Amino acid sequence: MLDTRPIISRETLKQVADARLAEANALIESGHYAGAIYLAGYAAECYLKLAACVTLNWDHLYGAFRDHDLEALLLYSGLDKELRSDQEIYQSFVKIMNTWPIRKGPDKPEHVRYSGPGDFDEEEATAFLSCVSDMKAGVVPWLQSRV
Amino acid sequence: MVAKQGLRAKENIQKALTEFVDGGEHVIVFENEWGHMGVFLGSEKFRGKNPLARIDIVWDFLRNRLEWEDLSRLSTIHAWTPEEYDQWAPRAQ
Repeated sequence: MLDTRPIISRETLKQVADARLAEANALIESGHYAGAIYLAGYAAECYLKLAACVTLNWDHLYGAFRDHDLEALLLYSGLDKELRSDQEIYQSFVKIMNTWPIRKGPDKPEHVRYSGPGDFDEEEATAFLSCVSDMKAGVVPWLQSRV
Repeated sequence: MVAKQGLRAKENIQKALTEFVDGGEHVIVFENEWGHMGVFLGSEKFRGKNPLARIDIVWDFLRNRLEWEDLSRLSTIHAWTPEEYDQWAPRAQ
């Protein structure tokens, strides 16, 4: 049974996504790298959900999309084929998808949410944020231009 | 037609990555639940590298060897050192 209970409006979802991205940048500035990666990945997830809402002409995100699988969300957004046709953006997407959450193995997931403060350094966090928010190669600006 | 393309992509990815790890011992290519490709890789080339850098190494290698049509079907990359591979890669049936 499809869960059609509304979770959040499209407008609020966009505000949440932008806020998480701003917080990720603030965290990286203050040296909190694991938190920065976690929130930046979450911003990308929110934008994929927003893109799905736009494609499906939904005013709200519904319970059926309570999903953290970025590949699934990309498919629901209807932008899968277009994103895969852009080599630079798709490479960024693959890096985000395979880092957030970190998948050490099929039965040994190690979610970035449970990472300690020293598990990531500035270089990794900066590279991750670039995949998410770089104006040329970032997945979020690419999605922003389509929602 | 789509299944044929998927099979061809899988074969091409397997072939290229076998070259990447200098033999087939530490490569498993699989089709994920969305019909795209994933890989389990074990290589010394990943030692000392963070997860993002590991993906870049694989990506840059494949970009020079595969058509984009095949490479764009690859979405999941588990890039491990040989020890990590032994610990985490699924065992052959």
